[in-house]
Formats: sequence, C-alpha cells, structure tokens
Amino acid sequence: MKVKARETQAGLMRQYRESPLPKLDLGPGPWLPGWLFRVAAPAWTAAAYLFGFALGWAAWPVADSPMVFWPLMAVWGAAHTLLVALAPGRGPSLSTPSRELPLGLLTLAATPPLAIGVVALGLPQALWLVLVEYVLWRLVWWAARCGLATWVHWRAFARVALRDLTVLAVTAALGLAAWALELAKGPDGTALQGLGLLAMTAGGVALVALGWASRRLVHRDR
Amino acid sequence: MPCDGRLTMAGQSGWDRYGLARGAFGLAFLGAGLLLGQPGLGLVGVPILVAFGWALAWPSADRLTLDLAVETNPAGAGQPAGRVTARLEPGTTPGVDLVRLRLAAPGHRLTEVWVTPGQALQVEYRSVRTGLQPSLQADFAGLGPFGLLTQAPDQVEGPQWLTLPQARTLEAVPVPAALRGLTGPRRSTRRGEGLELHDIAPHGPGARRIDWRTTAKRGGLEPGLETLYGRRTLASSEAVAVLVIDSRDNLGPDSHTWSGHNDVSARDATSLDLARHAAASVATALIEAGDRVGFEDLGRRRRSLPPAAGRRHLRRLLHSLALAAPAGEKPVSSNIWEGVKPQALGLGGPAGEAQPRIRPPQVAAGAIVYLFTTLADDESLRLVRAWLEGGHRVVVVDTLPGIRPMGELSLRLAWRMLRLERHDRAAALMAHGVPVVRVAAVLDVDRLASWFWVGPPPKGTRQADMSRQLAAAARAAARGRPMTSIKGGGIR
Repeated sequence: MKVKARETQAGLMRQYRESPLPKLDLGPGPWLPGWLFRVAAPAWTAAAYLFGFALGWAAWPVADSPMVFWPLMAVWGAAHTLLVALAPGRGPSLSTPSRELPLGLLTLAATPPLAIGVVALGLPQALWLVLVEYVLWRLVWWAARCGLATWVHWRAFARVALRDLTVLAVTAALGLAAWALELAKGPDGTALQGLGLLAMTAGGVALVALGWASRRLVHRDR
Repeated sequence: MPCDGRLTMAGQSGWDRYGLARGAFGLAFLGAGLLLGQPGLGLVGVPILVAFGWALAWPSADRLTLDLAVETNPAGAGQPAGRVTARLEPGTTPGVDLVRLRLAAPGHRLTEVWVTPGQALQVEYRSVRTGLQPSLQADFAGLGPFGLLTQAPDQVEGPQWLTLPQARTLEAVPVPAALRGLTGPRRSTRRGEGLELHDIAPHGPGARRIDWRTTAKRGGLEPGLETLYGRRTLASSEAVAVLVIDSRDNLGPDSHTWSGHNDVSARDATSLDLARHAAASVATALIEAGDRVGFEDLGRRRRSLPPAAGRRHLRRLLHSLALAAPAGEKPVSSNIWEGVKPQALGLGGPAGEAQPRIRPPQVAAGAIVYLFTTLADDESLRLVRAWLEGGHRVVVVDTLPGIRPMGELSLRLAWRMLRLERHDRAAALMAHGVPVVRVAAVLDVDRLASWFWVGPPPKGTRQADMSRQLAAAARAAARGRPMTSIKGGGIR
C-alpha cells in the first residue's frame, strides 16, 4: 500500500512538472539557446586547463616541480570548472550579469598553469594560449549574461564572433611581428633580444591610445 | 511605440565593471611580460587591449528605442484561443552593437533574446483568457562592442485589449416561474394580447377579435345573430433574467497559482473565464429567444446593466461580462487560507477597497437569477437565500475549472477541505431547490475547445455538462417539477 501511495505521489509530481508555462513563439531563426554557452564555458575551461597542463608539463617536468604543485593545479582546475558551470545560476538580470565579476576574476585562476607553459615555450606557443584564454573570456562573458531561457539570434552571435575574430587576427599579427623581430639579427649578427616584446607592448598601447584619441577627436561632437 | 522612459537611469551608458577589470588584467599581463622579458606572457594581454581600443573608438551610445506593435486576432466562433502577434524592432542607434530583450507575455515564460539593432523580431503567442488583457512587456538594453559599454535597461509595453467571451449554443435554459409584460416571445398563463388561443367568449372586454366561424355556428342556433363571439388569447410575455457573476474569485486549474505568486498559464481558462463564457452562452440563448437579460457583477460596486433585449444589448452584455474582474478585497471565509491576505490568493483587487456587499444585488421582480460562482465561500449561499426569500428562481452555475492533480501534501489537504466545503454549499443549495450546474471539467485550451464543440462530445470530455443540465432543469421547471431533480447536478 505504501509503495502504491508513493507511486501515486510521484505520478502527481510528474504530472505537475509536465505543465509549465507555455513558451513564446519567436520568429524565424536560427536561434542559439542560452544553455549552449552555459555548457560551452565550463567545457572550454576544462579544455584550457588540460591545454595548460600539457604546455606546463612539457616546460616543467613533474620531476623538477614541487610535489604538491601539479595536484594543486588539478584541484584548482576542477574547482574553477565547477564554478564556471554553477555560478551563473538560473538567469541574469538585464542590468546585472550573473556573478560576472567573480567569474571573470576566476578566469585569472587559469593563468598560472598556462603561464608556466608560455614562459618556457615562447611566442609561437603563446599564440595558442592567447586563443584559449580569449575564447575562455568570451564564453564566460556569454555564460554570465545568458540565462537558460535566453535565445541568441545567429546574426547577433555572428556579429560578436566576427569582432572577436578580428581581435584575434590583430593579436596574431602583432604576435607574429614580434616573433619575427625576436628572430631578426642585428648588423653584428647577434639576436635582437627584447625588441619584439618592446614592439608588441608599444603596439598594444598604441591601439588603446588610438581608440581613446578616436573617441576624443572623431566623436567629440556627439 | 517609443519607450517612455519610466525607469530612471534608463538608456544611460557606462563602462562595464567586469570589462574594466579585464582591461586592467590585460595591462598587467603586458607589464609582466615586459618586466620578465617574456613576449609570450605579454601577448596574453594584447587581445584584451585591442578590444579595449575598439570599444574606446566606438561612439557613445544614444538612448536606444524599441518599436512595439501588437496585433490581436480574437478567437473565431467555437475557438477558445486568440492569437497575439507582437512585432518588436530596436532602433539602429549609434553606439549600440547588440540589444538584449526580455519579453514578458501574460501567462507565458519569461523569454530573453539577443538581437542586433534594426533587426525586426516577431513574437507570437496564444491565450484562452478573456477580459482585459495585459499586453506584452519588453525590457531592453543596448550593449557596445564586446559588452564593454552597457546601457541601463529601459521598458516598453503594448496597449491592453479586451477579449470578449464566446457563447456556445445551449439547448434550453430555465426561465422565471412568473413571466411578465404584455409582449414577448413566451406564452403567459394570463389572458391578454397574444397569439395562443385561450377560449371563445361573447364579444366584450378581452374578446375583441371576432371569431366569425363560431359566431356563424352559434348564430344558427340563435336566430337574429344577436351575439358576436370573440377569441380570447393568452397574453404574450417575456422572461427576465439577471446574470450575476461572482468575479471576486479568479481561480485557475493549477492550485499552485492560487497564492498569486505564480502566473496562470495562458492556455488555462480560469473560473472567471468560464463564468464569462457560460454567462455569454445563457445571455445569448435568452436574448435570441426574445427575453430580457440584465447583468450584475459582485466584484464591483458599479452601476449594473438593467434587463433589456435585442442584439445591441447582447453586445453591451458581452462587453460588461468581459470587463467583470475582481476589484475590492474579498472576505475569505475558508479556514484553509485563514490569515492570508486575499490579494495573495488572487482573490481580490488592490487593498483599501475592502467592501463586502451587505445587500444582494437588486433584481427585477419575477426575474430568474443565474449566479456564476466558484462556491469558494458562503457569500454565494447568503445571496441565494436572499433571492429565494424574494420569490426569485435561482440557478447556480459552478465555474470552478477542473483542478489539476497536485503533488504537495499541504495543497492536497487544502483542496480536499475546500472540496468538502463546496459540496456542503452545493447540497444546501439543492436542498433549497436551487440547481447547481457545472460548466465543464475544463482544464486547458484543448478541453475548452471541446466545450465549444457543438454536437456529440469528443471521447473523454464532459463537453455537454452545462447545456444538458440546463436543458434538463428547464424541462423540469416547465413540467412543474423541482429543477433539482436533474440528473448529474451538483458538484462532483
């Protein structure tokens, strides 16, 4: 009898759960569901850690590193992935993204294992790292702003993705230019160490200054 | 419809906090790379700075506008659900790269969409609800490139509209015991002007239409043809009915929504929707038969609609029915919700209008009263007693929709108690000779569609409940039997 009562209760609960409020019928799409970003962000975070570990192990073998370092990094990575998955909650408000600042700062947590690999491997490998890190930033940004009931029109996503690709292309161009300068040799045949780094820093700062100047000069009348 | 800026700060742009933090992060990486002499490390900060430079070069955003046009297609004859089409178009505002929209349609899930400026969006939804319908509400905010510049959200809401109830065909409806007036479609028991023959009598008052055949026949027996005979007829008369809607309750089939915290699904007809449909059906049946119908709304203290006949009056009635809505606090008698504010139960309007009716609505002498109520409290019982004492015939139509099974034990207990109370009230009414007719076990749009179905009911539905029971009550009354002798009356 008890079993039957429990079954009836479960049946009633199921019946109630199966009647949520109806959805709005949105116009022609395609629409990307918000949960896609919620899933992609932690997946990419985990992938970023694995990538960082791969680079780090190559640069700093386990035998040479302190004993607790890599296990600590693994726990760190797992916790970070879990937080990226759970922190956004059910859905953000229009004015306040879901715990985006802590999420963004948490992205920093991915840096140490990645940085270790980069420091040792140099510029060409760092380009991959930049891609991983930048995509992680953007996915966390989407995940913090998209609730489970959010739909992103492909046109809106494409516009954002196009800008992101442009940014990555500019970064790649700067990185490759810096790499070329790093490889260049002076008149006396010695490598020009640090020239590429200086040029890259100058380029990055110049872009920000250009943007600021454009805001001041071009859009001053607005 | 441009936004009217009800939100303070609406449309104001600012730098995203997280974006600024990321900018600092990028600079820190570039600085660390420079200090450590590691170009790879510095490169990590470059894309963030590039994005920042882009955002800086972006023009400052103007206030975003959103055009919202709502088109309503009311339900056709026999169709319960109307269709609403909303067209939203965010303006192409300089400085806005993306637009976030949060759409709130009554009885639907909150939906958030991301579109580009200038991109038209068409949203459709269906609703079975009647009466004054709140429109789609859209909150929107613009974003600059990479989300580094954000705008404070703004709001726009479409116009309200009125959905009239639908009338279904009823076989027959009970009429008052005493018909009144000297004109109308019905036959009175009194002698007077009419078409129905009462008897033949010598010409005089009441027998002015000479029946030549009788006069000739009798003349043969009476030489001289001194006496003329006339036909006396039964007077024509009309029935007067008053529809009383108990709009203080508006309960949906999902008891989780009774607390007022959850929206009733747009696919679910509430008790008020069913009351409106049922009252419209009765009104149509009576007015098409040539009777006079008046209307009273228990939930509002405003001028009632006096009994009248004709198609124009029917349209006025339907409008009044659609506007019937809870206003004013309702005294909750049920022990289940004792101590809970009626507004929280969705049983009343804004606070401060707590004025329970002391006297029942005055109805015309000899009128039949149709009371459409959920029987959720004793108020209906009190009103019915008062009308019965005044000599009126009363028919109670139970408008509570079929209640969906509920999982929680507390809700099940509460519903069981309410059901027992309703049973007691229905039994008390039946004991007073008042038939209690149930509208239907309508749960949602599909069942409501079957309710409007004319013909044999689809399998598994109780479509014919109200029509059959009202017809049975009308037949019983015509034969002089108590109307409560109908089969299947009362509350299940």
